[in-house]
Amino acid sequence: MKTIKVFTIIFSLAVLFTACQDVIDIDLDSIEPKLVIDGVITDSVVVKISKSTDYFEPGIYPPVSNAIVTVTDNSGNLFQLEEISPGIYSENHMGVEGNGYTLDVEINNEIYTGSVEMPHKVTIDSISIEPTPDYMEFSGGYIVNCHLQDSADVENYYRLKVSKLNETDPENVLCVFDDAFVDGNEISMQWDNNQFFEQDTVVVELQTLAKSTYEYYRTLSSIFESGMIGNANPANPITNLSNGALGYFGAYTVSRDTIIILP
Amino acid sequence: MKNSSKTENRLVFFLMLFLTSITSVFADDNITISGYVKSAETGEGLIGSTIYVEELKTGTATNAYGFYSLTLPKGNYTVRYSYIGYENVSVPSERITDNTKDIELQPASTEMDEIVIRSEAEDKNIRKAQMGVTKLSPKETKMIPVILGEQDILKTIQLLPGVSSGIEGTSGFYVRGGGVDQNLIILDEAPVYSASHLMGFFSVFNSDAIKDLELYKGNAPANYGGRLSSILNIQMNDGNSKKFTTSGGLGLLSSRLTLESPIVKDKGSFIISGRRSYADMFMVFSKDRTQQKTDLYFYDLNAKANYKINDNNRIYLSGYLGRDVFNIDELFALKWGNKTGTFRWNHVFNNKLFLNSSLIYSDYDYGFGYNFSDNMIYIKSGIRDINWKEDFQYYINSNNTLKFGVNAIYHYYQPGKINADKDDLFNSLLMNEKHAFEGAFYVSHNWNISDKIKVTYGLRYSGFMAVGPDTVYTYNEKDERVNTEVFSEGEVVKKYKNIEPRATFNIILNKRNSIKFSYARNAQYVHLLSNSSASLPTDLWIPSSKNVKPQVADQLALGFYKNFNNNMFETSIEVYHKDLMNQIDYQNGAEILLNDDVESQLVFGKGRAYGLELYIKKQTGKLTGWIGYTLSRTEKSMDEIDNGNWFPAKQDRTHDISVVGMYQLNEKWNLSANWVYNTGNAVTFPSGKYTLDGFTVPVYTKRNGYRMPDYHRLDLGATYTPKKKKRFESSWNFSIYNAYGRRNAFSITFQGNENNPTQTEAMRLALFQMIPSVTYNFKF
Repeated sequence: MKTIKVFTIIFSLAVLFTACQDVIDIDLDSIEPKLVIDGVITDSVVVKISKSTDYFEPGIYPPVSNAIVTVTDNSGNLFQLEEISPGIYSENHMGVEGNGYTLDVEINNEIYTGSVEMPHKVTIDSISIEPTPDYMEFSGGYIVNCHLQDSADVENYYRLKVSKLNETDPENVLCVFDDAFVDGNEISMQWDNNQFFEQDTVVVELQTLAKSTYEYYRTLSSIFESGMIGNANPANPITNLSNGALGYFGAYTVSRDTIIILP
Repeated sequence: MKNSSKTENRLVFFLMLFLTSITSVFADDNITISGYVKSAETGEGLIGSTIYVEELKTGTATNAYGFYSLTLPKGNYTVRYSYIGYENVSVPSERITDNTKDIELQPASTEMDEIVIRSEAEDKNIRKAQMGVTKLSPKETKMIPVILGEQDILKTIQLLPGVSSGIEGTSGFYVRGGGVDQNLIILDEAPVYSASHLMGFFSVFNSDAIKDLELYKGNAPANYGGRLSSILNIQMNDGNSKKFTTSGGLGLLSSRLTLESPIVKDKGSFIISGRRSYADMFMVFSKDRTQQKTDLYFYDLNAKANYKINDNNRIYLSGYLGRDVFNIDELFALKWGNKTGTFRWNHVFNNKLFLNSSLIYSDYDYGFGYNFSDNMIYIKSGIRDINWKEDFQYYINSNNTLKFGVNAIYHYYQPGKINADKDDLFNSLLMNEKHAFEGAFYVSHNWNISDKIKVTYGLRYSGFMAVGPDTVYTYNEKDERVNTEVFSEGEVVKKYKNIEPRATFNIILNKRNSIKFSYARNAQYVHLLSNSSASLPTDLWIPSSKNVKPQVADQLALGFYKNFNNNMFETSIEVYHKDLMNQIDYQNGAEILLNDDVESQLVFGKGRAYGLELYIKKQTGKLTGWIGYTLSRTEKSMDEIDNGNWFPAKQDRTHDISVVGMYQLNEKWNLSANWVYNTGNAVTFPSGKYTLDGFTVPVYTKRNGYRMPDYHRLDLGATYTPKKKKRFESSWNFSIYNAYGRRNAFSITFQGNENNPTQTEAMRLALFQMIPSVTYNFKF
């Protein structure tokens, strides 16, 4: 969660005397490009297949075309995905809550597989705004709270995305949480990564994640959050894919709501 | 069961044999002198002072309470008592009777002698059957420059070969490749679980309250145990039993005050010493609102009293209380601290048998709270120990000393709890508490076989028992619970035991040269789980359990020791090899915080460490100091990480050099400098990257496959001591940490460029460059 981020603040305080940050040259090994599968089932199925690059290369990831991509549900129905643009495969099949799905990707006679269960949807109850509290690192605007009712005795995993209408969150914050300590409660999630101003139209998206999708995001965010202290053992995010493929086959439901900020 | 009782029988047999072998050395025509060696100035017992009989070329040393016993054949000898920084006292033999003899030594009169940075007399390093051990007292190290001017014994021991520092500025240390948790730090017999203040930039030990420290690098005699890598034994000052004194210091970040006084002159005394930091007071001037509203401080208090009931009985009561507080407005709160208390009773049965009984309480708690959606959530954890020890020392004769004893500890662990109100966002939570008993018997025999061969050997028999109430899960390969067992109060959950033999042989080639060889097995029943490079209070201590076996290490060491120029120079070469079993690590992506299934997140494997340590020390003259060099390798292997291949432990450092020099310029000025260099820590860096859902995700290939940049740093210090006025003494200490401003990487992080996020880059964070400080010390 946020702990690590806060530790980072502390460290900067503890050493505010002379700490300094700069860019340095580090020699990193060159590695064989690895297959990356970014597959997601929500209202439809979209699978993006690409290759990894060396770490300091520019962020251009070669797409992988001509793969045979299929999704099978647990009733045995099989859908073959169509390559709609290079490396992007899609099918307008809706994910049904509680159903299991298996992704199979065949490239050069190698098969990569991943399975996931579509989670049950939790919807946003309401959205509220409040003036930015003065202990935050920014001030003068409003922050957004998302209210929801967690279902009791079910393990739920959430992801919250908040941004201005028609814009994506500029910092691309990964905010995921589970209900381990709030099971069955009314939950208020505060989006404290950035604030909004009067007349902004703000879109709040609450995703309910499959457990494996949450595990991927949780371990991914621990890489990002380790901050200045340094995570002792950073590791690749936990994937549900076989055969050494990177990425995941994720599933989530979406509940969206909008608020216009008026004082 | 059958097998183990056989081992026990064998053990008993061995002990019997051993006891009969030493009874044969009893003889009647002997006299025994015993007593305490004390400082004439403060009345405190002097630890490790030498008692030597030149005519017989034999002697002994005082124990941790200043007690000694020496048995000699009847005759006329001169007995010499000596201790570093004190005048020798020689007692002609006709005055020696078969009786107690307390000796007081006067501090050496010349100021020059005080800065001699040695604590071991003359050629003890050659003569003693003990290796991999270092003794230091704060007095001897007070000239060494340290960060922010705060004298710190844990920083000083990091300058010794075989001991390396944790990440920059922190008081965590690694001994011969062992983890931070494999060091047992004991303060007046009480274990201290977290030795760091202020995120580790200060250690919890206030050097004003410390008399002496001893560090064993894995070859400790059998009376110590419980950790694999080292024993750091710290003794608190007893307090001046002659007169009332006040001393203290004012520094940039913290201040200290110590009061000492007799309770009844020459019979009892007490000391009380406190410290408080005030770094956060500068925050008020910060423009940043969050920084203004930040609390950031620590305090600690050491107190000790001792009273001599009669010649044969003396009691000690000592305590430590330390607390760290961090609050950032309504965002965050972090508190942690240690409390220890020790009651000790020294009893002298007769002039050959000494007993110390200790009852020890030790408590470490840590908690943090953070603002989660406008709700403060507080998570608390802790450990509590109650510890009982009986330590006998039997001075059979000048060639045989026997130590034996028993130790029992009750451990209580609270891995985490949340207290929530009804209308809080969070539910209350109480994680599985753990209860356990740890115990040991030991016997250790110090035997001078001849003038040339000395041996210290012994056995420690340790056991551990996890008891209920407890709920124990077993897990399958997917880390899912497959079995749940519930144990009621007092029911035995799991038992472990280990036989830990230890031996050190010393072959004295001549007065200046010796060769030593040692073997030691150590077992450890408590473990620290840490997922960050810094020592954060969120690191979790866990006991051994059904799923977590005790760690065991075997260490072999060989050393050659040579002194020359009339003991002005002391040199040594030591090599070691250590095999570690049942080592613990987190699996990739482990979830640690508030996880009752944390044991399912662990992986187990083995470790190995080996190295070469060179040490040269100049003990006398205007210029004193040492050079230490360590060449080493530390590796681990876990089936679940990189297919069980050996990978470097993060503390693996190929080269580690420390140079420490102190120079007495004149009566008023002392100059000092130290320079350190080490290979960067082993770290995991990404080799590739990919894109997923708008994120740039790093690809890691090997655990700890990369290195941080090499670390080096020069510190300079100067101490000005004005002439003593009546009873008032003072000194000014000036220092510069990292004098040439090397940007040592505290951490290296990988991230997208601010202007072009798809272009990734490596960011270095450097913490301390050229930090000046000044401290004023006084005593009256």
